Amino acid sequence: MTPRHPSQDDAATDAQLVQRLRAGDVRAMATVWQRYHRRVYTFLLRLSRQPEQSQDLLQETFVRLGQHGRELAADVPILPWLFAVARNLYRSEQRRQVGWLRRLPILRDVLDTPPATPYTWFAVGEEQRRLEAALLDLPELYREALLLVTMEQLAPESAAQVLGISHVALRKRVSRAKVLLRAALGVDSPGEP
Amino acid sequence: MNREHGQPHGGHGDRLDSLDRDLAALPLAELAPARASQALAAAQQALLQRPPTPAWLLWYERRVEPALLVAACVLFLAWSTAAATPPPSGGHVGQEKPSAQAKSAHPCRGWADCATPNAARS
Repeated sequence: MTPRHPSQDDAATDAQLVQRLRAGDVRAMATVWQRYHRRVYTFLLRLSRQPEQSQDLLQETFVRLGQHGRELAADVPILPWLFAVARNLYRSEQRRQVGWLRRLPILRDVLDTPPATPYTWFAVGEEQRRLEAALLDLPELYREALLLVTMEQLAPESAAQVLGISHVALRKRVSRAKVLLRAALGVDSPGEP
Repeated sequence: MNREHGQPHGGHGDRLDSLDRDLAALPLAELAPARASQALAAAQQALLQRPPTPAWLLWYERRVEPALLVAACVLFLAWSTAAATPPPSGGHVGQEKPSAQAKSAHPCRGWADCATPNAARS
């Protein structure tokens, strides 16, 4: 099937797109894709640090949207929904792969070693490269919170829902992530002398 | 939900600083067009593969009021219990006894009376 690209659909609101997905409209899927696939892909890329895996997970995320499109609640916020599915798929994949690989003792040390190469495919300029590298070195727990709140600018309630944690826990994680990031970059916290 | 830079998150207590701005300014990754087409096609196919729910099934899919469902079950149970209860005095289930009025209107008192030629004539 040839994918159809949106034209006049660009102005449709997310709620309208959800309504049309519920009716099985493939053009609505194309519009959602056009609107959000880069953000979900970038989120996955910064989460997994693996381009191939991120592409597979991105596709799977949108396939899930297709499979469940007709059952979506009318008021579902579509971008947080996509982030939540993408993150859950990533977590499942990670558990599956690591669980299997960790049975091989020779790979245990390799898996426990953080990636040495900074993943800076899309950074522009030296400053952004440093920031990107420091971000990707953050523990995943903090990185995903920072990605959703500071970079994707999800509302705190939505981000907490995506991560399955409380609002307070989210705030703590974001705060801790920033402290770690500033330390990695050698930058003082705001307000410090 | 926008991705405008420099939007503070109300209620957090987090201050908008240069780190926030720098993070928000990091560019988005690009997907190769061929890969993008493949992924979109798969998603659209997934949407199409599930046939629309037939109208007659909508009442079920759209989740009938639980109270209505319980009421229907109770009514059915009551009906089936009543149908299975035997009549109060003797006889087989479903066998109707002639009423007193029907009995008095009939000239014969028993099958033997009506069976005799004299009785039939009178």
